Amino acid sequence: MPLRRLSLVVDDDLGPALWVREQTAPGRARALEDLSGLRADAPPAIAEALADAPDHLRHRVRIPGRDGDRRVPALPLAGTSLTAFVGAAAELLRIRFGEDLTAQLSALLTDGAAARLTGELVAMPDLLAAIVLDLRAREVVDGRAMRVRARERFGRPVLEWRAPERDAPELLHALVDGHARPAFAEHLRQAPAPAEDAAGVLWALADDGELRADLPAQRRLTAAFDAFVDSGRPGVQLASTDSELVVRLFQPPVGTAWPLQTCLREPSGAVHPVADLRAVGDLTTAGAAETSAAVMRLAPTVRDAAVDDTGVDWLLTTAEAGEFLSRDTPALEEAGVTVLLPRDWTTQRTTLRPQEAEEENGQEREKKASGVGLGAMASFRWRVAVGDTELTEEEMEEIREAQSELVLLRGQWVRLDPTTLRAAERFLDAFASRTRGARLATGPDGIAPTPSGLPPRHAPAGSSAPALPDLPPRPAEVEGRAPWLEMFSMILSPDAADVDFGMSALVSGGRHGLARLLPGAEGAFPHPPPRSLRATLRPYQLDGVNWLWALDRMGLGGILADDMGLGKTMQVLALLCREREGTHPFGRERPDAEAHEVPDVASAPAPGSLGPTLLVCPMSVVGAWQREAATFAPELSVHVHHGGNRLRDESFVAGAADLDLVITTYSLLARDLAVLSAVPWHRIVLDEAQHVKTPGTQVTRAARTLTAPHRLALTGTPVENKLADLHSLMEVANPGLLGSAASFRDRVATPIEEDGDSGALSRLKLVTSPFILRRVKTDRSIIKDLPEKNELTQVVNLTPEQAGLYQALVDDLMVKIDGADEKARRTLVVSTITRLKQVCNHPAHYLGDGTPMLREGQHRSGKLELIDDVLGAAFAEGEKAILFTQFTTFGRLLVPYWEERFAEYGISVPFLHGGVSKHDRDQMVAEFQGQRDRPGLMLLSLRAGGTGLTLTAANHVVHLDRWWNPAVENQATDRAFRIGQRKDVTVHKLVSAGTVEEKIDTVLADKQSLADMTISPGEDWLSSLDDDRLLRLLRLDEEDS
Amino acid sequence: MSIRLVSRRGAIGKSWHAAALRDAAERLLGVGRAGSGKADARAGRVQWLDVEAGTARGDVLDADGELHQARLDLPPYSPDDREEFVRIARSRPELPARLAGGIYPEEFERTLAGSELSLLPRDASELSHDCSCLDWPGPCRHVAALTYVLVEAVDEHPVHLLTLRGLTLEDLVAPRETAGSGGADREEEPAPPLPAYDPARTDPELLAAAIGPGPAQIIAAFYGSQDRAGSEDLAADDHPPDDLQ
Repeated sequence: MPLRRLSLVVDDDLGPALWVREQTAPGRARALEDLSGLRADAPPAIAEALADAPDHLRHRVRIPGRDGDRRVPALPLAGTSLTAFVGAAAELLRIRFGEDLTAQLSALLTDGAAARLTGELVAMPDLLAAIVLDLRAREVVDGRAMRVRARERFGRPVLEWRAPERDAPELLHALVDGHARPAFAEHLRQAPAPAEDAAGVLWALADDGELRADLPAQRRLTAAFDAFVDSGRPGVQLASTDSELVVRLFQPPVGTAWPLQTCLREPSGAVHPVADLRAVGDLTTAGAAETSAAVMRLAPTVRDAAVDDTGVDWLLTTAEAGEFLSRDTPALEEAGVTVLLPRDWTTQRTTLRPQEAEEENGQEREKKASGVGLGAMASFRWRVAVGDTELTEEEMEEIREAQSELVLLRGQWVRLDPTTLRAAERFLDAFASRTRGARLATGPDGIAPTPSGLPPRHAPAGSSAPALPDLPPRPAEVEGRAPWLEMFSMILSPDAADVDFGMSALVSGGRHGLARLLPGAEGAFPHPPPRSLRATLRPYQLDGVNWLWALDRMGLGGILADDMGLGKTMQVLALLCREREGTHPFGRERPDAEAHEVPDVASAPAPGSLGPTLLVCPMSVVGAWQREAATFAPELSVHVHHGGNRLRDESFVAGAADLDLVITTYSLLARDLAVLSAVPWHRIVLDEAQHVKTPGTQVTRAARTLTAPHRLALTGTPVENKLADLHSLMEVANPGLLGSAASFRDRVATPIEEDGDSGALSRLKLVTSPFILRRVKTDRSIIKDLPEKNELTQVVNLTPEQAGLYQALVDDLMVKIDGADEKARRTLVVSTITRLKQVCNHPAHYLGDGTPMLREGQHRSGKLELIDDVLGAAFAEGEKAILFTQFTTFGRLLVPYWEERFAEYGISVPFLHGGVSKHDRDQMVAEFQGQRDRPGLMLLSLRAGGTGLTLTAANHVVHLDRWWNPAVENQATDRAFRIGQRKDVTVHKLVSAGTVEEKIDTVLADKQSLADMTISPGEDWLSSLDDDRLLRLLRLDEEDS
Repeated sequence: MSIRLVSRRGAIGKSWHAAALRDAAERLLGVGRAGSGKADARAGRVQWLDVEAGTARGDVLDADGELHQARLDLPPYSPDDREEFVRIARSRPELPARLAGGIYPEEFERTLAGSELSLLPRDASELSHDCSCLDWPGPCRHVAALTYVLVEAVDEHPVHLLTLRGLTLEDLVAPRETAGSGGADREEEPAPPLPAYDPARTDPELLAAAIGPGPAQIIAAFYGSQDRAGSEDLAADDHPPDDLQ
């Protein structure tokens, strides 16, 4: 039996193939052409593996030899015949080496040696290598780690099982295929046949079934199998498509090169630089390149920027970084790419800070015959600031030249907010041109004289040479002069859109006219209190009187918006007293005053020559005005124009001329407009001026019709619901100051209320601040002698009876609302809210069936139970309480109930509501206030009793049901919490647990913080809620009840 | 399925590299073939395009409804050329991203020219062609149509030029010695150990999109894929198999 050497080679065309060298004589060998001899001599396993092979070897493979390649006969082996053959050879070696097989094999392979399988059969090194690979192939298949590749073999599409490593030896791939194919065939025989296998994938994997796929489909199949297998390997091969693209900009570590890094964000949120992912093999180079390319597609600036050595990150110049921020960032974010900027990096807004404002004094004005009040010439000086940094001219110049959003300002990189920067530039241009016009009109030579009182400044270009257009550099300070009205309209004009005036106070205020009243200025000229007032004004009240007086002297109107209880009535009475006694035109009270400090625009008129002041107020406070005027200003002759027997003819007009103060109500204002407008009023005062906040109503129209040289609006809440209200009040006080309602809404109200535009708020404050005075009670510097106010929101449980009724109402609404049109739907919801609130108050209130308040001694309402306790405790201490409800019917149920329940204290319960006459109201209030330190209780309807009254005898305030407006509730609370209150006030706001009341209470709490602002943007939120959100509010939350 | 050209009139291929490929190919095709090929390409006669090392292939529909298998060959680099190309390319770290972004820098091609290399056909003679149609020896209009489709594909994806030369983007980046050596200020991240492969994790939805849910289920059972959340069924339905092109 000759010695035969078995070799396994992989041919480019044939794949794995066996060829055999047979020793014919010592030192002579030939390539076997016929297998029959081998089959006959070989061990059974080898023979069996080759059983199906033809005897004659028709194929040839190329073998490298000493004298170049030669071609030898070979047997192509594929699939099971390959694995069977290699397996048989391995088995023979295993018999020979036993446990040592693996070690022996690797030793043989290292030496490049052959191994004897049997006496006459030798495995050449390439077959030994195949045996090792076969072990690996079995592992791959057992571990189901195979890939699948579609390709064309001899012009026919096939599927091949492959080893997971793409660069594995071809033989390993072939062995994997040889093992996987029968295993899968076995699996397929046991599996139920699938409904559809369009491409014939299954049989192409199990057998040599036909794969129906053209070349692109083959690529897709391969890609799908790759994705499938790769999904079994966690974390690796991040595809750029399933991670979020992130771009990160760093500040220059040194110099001005801004690193820009391409990153990916994993679904877990971790952000990794693409360069790092590629370095550790989690991202392919193609994936990294694709990611970086995506950034370039979206960010044109980056395309031409310098690339760093990673090839996927960039180093931007400052100009490029600025360009990237302004142009590319929006596009990137639009495309869903996150742009990460240096930590704590916010855009810095550019603000225009008013430095100084001054009005010409009287002498100058007379010389130039310019106007008074809003017509007076004023000068304004601005400074430009970025963030908190006020810019020098050099810095302004730098920013202008850089044309970039990124500037190095005093050693720090600053990102400029382009909107406010451009807005500031635009406004200063407009300001320069419009104030120059005014300047040209003042002198024949077109050169403005330096305003007196202001030291000459060295050459800010905008003011010293404004006639030259496009004059660089833009100065850091710009000064210009124009009448106030022009200034104000400029500030509210589109030219000032997006301008932020930043701070609310001037650095140095003026000393003349309106300039004194701007925030940060000196304030109104301080006069002593009027001698004829029979009361001691508190310091802040005197300030208020001086402010009123200053506006009055300039012929301007104002809005006095002090909190309820701070004495607006007193300040108005003091104003009337002062104008009747006058002040010394040259400041007699301050002999040291210099001539140019003359406080008044016009000297006070001689006493006696004044006309009457018309005061319009709600009916409920007519009595209060009358009483306070009689008490504190008895010299004033006061007339109340009210009641059925009031004068309505010529005699009223004639008689009014001799009066100082005429008090009337809003309802009569409209009704008696004809006779009222026939009187030449000296002044019109609108108390509780929120009555004229709604444009178009009869009352508002009437209020705007009446003319008088002096106008004043009083209110405790300048902006009860929206800024439009402020506009309405200002229309009464200073018509035209804030422009038309429409332009005010577009340019001021909407930006503030809907976008929270702080710039618009700063512009509004700058224009309105001289005309609005508001002090709040909680400001301890204003008022030191008011006791504490404790507000308690008390949550009470519904009784089972209440809960049942409540649930039924909600269920009923759900049924009815289905299919209702929008209008009917809204009506349903609104009326249901009312009923729900009634249920929360008391079942008898909702049912209206006259049933008793208690049932067998048990409470039917959680609220009533709690109030009984509160009242019991208060009465025991000899204290009084006032209770507010919005339901008059509920009040009528309560009065007899409490009179009986607290009979031991012998109290009667007065009920002040809309149906009570003025006389009776005054009587009720006087009796209530008269008996301090005795138990007492007054019930008020929120609408009738919420404003104007003084009920400081009570130190408990109970809100039985909630109103949707915190301003209204606070006004009602202020009946007790105002000047004259000596005790701490406890406010009980009752809320039923789990109901609409509790849910809305949270909303109210939020709104309170808005109303606490001087100018409170608010919205009519209830009516703007959509019905679904309303329903969510209404539902009874069982867990809490 | 057929390929729609973006270009509706005038020359096909806007970038300089697409134009260079087109010019070389047009010298091969001749004016007449070029014209009819361009018309066929614009008419959407080319069904698909496949680019691999040395060969661009595609099925082209004839006027009489017959499909012909056209191919255009550009020989891959010899081992020596390949080594030289990789050496030059690796000194240009930005090249992969540029190529992926559709830009083939002209100055890079000039640098290659210094070593007598080009990604583009250096001459019409470097291109060869074949088709299953009877128009022998060609080049036939099918090859011409395929050529214009290739030109437009290369216009947007210059990476195809690399592929034809037998290269991938991976070849352009030098393997790193250490991980995270990108910069001192960046977080150093040690290379994690290769996570274990677990066939149970495999997601059959990735297969279902390509071969249908039934066969995918059988293959998944073979691999022992665990059932996944039902929501992924929807995800798979939303994403029909993507065209490789």
